[in-house]
Amino acid sequence: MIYKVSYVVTGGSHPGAIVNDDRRPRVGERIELDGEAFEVVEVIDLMPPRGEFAYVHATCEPVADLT
Amino acid sequence: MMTEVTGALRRSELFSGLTDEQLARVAALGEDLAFERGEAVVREGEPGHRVFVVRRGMVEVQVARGWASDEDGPEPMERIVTLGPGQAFGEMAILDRGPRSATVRSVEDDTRLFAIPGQALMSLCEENPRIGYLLMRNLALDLSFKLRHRNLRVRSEGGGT
Repeated sequence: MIYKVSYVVTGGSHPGAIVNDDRRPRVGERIELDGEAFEVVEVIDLMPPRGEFAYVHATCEPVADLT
Repeated sequence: MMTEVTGALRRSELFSGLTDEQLARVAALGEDLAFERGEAVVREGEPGHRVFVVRRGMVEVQVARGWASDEDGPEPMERIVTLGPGQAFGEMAILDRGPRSATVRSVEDDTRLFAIPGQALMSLCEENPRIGYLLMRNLALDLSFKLRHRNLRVRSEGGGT
């Protein structure tokens, strides 16, 4: 399954991203977009899966770093 | 190289449902391009003749804020979204034949894009209705996803009011 993910960032200047991932993002997980670190705070299904693709939305908040 | 390209295209929703043979026909239409960080791939307002698929790296979609004249200097740009591997852009100008609606820049060195001439893609769709149906459906799904993403971003900017 390929997860097409809509990342929306709250509380920062990053515009968000649309990326394909091999696994579904999880709440509490740290991710990196364009070198900036974020924490996933919400994950929802945007649309029913179709073929090999699942459609997911994740809301993220900036964090200081990935360590 | 062609196998590498078709493998990357296989992971793009734009080509979901195409057989290996159909995907190879699409891949034969395009070319692999490399961009350095900050380099513009397309510019807002220019004519658009190709659709792009991100193979490696990331690109950033930007639109000008306001309608500054040349005397005012370059318009300030608003970042709309970044797109990672598998994502397509440039499809609007192919579909509606209008000018580019946004500027797209590479945000990483050695960002690799697969560029497909729009006219050749449309001709393939007309010659092969099955390919045409799948590509048009997938383009609609991709535009729908981008619109949902945009709506969610607008909602998040509302601050819960």
